[in-house]
Amino acid sequence: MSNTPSTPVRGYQADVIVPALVFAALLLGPAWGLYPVLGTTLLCMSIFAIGYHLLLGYANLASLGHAAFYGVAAYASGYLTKAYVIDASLALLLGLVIGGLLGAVMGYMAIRRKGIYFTMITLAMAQIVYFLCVQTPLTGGEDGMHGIPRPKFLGVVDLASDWAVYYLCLGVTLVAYLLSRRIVNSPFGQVVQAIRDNDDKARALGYRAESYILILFILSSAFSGLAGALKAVGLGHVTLSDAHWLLGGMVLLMVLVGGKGKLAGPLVGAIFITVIENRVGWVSNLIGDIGALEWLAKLTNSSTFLIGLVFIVFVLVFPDGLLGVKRGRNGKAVES
Amino acid sequence: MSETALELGDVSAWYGRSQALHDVNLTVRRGEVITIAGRNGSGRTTLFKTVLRMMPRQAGRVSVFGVDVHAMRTPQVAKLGIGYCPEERAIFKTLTCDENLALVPKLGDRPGFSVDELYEIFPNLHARRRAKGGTLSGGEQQMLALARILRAGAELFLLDEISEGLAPIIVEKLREVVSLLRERRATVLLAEQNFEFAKELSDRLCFMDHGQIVESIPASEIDSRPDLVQRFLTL
Amino acid sequence: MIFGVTFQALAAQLTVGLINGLMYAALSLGLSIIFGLLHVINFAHGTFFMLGGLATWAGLRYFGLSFWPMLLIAPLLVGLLGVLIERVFIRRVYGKDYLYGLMLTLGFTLVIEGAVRAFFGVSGNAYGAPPVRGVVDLGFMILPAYRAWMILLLGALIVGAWAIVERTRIGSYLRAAKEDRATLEALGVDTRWLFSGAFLLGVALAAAVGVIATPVIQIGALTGESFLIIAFATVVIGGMGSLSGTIIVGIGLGLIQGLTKTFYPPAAEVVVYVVMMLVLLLLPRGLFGE
Repeated sequence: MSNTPSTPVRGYQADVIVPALVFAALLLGPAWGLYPVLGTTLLCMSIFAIGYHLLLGYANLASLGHAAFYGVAAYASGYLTKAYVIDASLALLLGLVIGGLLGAVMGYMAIRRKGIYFTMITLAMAQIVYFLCVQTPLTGGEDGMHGIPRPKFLGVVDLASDWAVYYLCLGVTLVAYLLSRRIVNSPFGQVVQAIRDNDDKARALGYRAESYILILFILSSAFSGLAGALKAVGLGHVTLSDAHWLLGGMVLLMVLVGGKGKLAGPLVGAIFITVIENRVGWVSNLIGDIGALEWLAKLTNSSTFLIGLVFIVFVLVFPDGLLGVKRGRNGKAVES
Repeated sequence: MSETALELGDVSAWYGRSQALHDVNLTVRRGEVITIAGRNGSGRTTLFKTVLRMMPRQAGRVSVFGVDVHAMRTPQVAKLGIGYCPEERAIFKTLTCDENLALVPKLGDRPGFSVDELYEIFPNLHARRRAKGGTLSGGEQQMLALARILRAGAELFLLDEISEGLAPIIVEKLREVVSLLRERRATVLLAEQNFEFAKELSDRLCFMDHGQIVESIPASEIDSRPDLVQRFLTL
Repeated sequence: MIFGVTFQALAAQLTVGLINGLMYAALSLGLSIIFGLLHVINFAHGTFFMLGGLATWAGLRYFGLSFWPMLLIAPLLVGLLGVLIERVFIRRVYGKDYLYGLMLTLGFTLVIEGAVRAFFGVSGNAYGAPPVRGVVDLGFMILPAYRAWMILLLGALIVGAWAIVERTRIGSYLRAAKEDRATLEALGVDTRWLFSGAFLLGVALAAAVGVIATPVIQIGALTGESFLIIAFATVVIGGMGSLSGTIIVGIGLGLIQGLTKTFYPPAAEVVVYVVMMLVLLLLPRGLFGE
């Protein structure tokens, strides 16, 4: 019996216990010393990753262009909030819609191709959008957009405190997570999974695969837009790196690290990666005290280096991610 | 020098979950020419692939010229002296005739035919020697596939359906070549549905069905057993 | 004057475009060789390019080695590093989904770039004077002598690499393995060495381009990135199976960039992506693909 799983967490644990634990831990953030800004960051990334996972996990399409949705939505809601101090809920809704619309346009073209070609098309599109962001004055170009005020949420909730923002984000993340579950378990979701597992058969049964995949693409881009808007309003600034394709690559990593096929995967992956990226100094300081290993301290101080290491380790050791579904030879899920 | 060219002991093989060979036992002496007869799907190609350890999963004992191959990778097994002509001929289409011939390393201990000798045996190939494999006709491709392994000096030949779909004049040429091999005491296994082609060249005939060797008779007895052809070869 | 631009200006930009195009062609040639056989998308290719340049700079700075020996030394060293990475790490993803190869090589890019950044800082290091001084007077324009050399060296690199694959015995093994690995193994050839060889060739090629580029660009941790994306675009536009297609497209893209730079400079980089997007949407197999 092959009992060496390539994922440490399986089945029921992944579906229910892990997300429950994660949300509980996040809820109690202040109690164990979580910095609200870090918390907000990782929650935005979680929403981004949950949306991205819809496309990667259920349509097997790896887009490198999703940062376009995140960035544009961030800039748009950031700008409108700065200029008109619109309500936070409106800003979020805007992000959702912008992400969805842009996704409809890009997705309509991109899903004509599959595999590596799909990835390259999304990359090309992302670079074009990035170029437009650089050229458009309202983004602030290289300097970025700063000083985005914090409006009220639904006219009532005051978001001035960092913790208020954090809990708003937590709420939105929870909604996003539950929504993704609803989508996947709905009749729509079933058809999408059928298409993923056996495209020809699904088509023979009369399903227009393109329509379903496009809708999935739009859903995932909408989530990305929502995450971007949340980032703009919650953290108060938007820079070019929010629209750069590498951000999309990071989200891809988050989903792969967390594991495809389990809805809590992107959540776990996003938290894991964001923490590594932001808490880089911790490891480095630890090592730095050991004089002879100064070079190692220098290395581990580089988040780029560490993230790269994570990429390598996960591909080789946990190819199915922390929570992922183990895939058999024919790509079908193998549950133990 | 081992007198047994090939030995299979309780050999089974699988494609995924489907079992293609069931406990096959076979002993082939050096210099024998054996026909493995059977319908499509009876396991002939799988048998060859199993000898070369090309199957995703296989079990049982295979030894080539007395050497147990269970821990070897395919190229190592081939280098014991096996010349393989796959069913689809599998010559390299983007390479020229010359390049195809030059490609194969020495397989086994004895030197193979030289390129000149080969072009004498297969004059058609000489005219096409700079043409890309993909432009050759079916017959030319088959001859090239055969010429390749002759060049390499193979001593155990696994020839999968070499006569299939070819004009009688080319089949005649193939018959010549197999006879030539026989004269040189090479060991040949022919997987064939074309019974007429194989019958005259063989010392022994083995009939396969559903992944097993069901009957094995010396060639001299074949005429007295028309029932075998009926049972294992016709539809 | 053509469209408000002098002939000299146009010629100058086209020359730069030609040189860039030759670099793209050489880089994407390496990518194509690696992808064609290993089916791995080598996202680390730009890093090997950067390492070639870094080695050249370091060779001068720390060992007093001049430019010309580095043309041989750097690709060799970087190539060996590449083979090491291939034998230990990359072989574990053969046969798997393309995403794994992509992520693994991207990981190496980040690791190497991070390390370079940690020890050398982010901003690029200038090489100093180019190995060949002076200018060449072509009549209609004046060309710095080293740029002329770049065209020659890059051209030789491209032709050489192409010839190795298409005209030599070793190349026939690579082409055969790309076409039908299983049969080649059944004929007694251990294709694992071919994989390493292909990777070595591709990586050394990238490093060589890096060496040649060193005197004219700043070599920093991030130098490889922009070249990498364009090299990928080149392979994809040209069609993933065709070597000559890659070469033609690479040079073409460089020239298109040169033209764009003359008439509408800000779009010089993005024009490549527009072309890539159009080609991918209209021609599923690329321009020359199989």
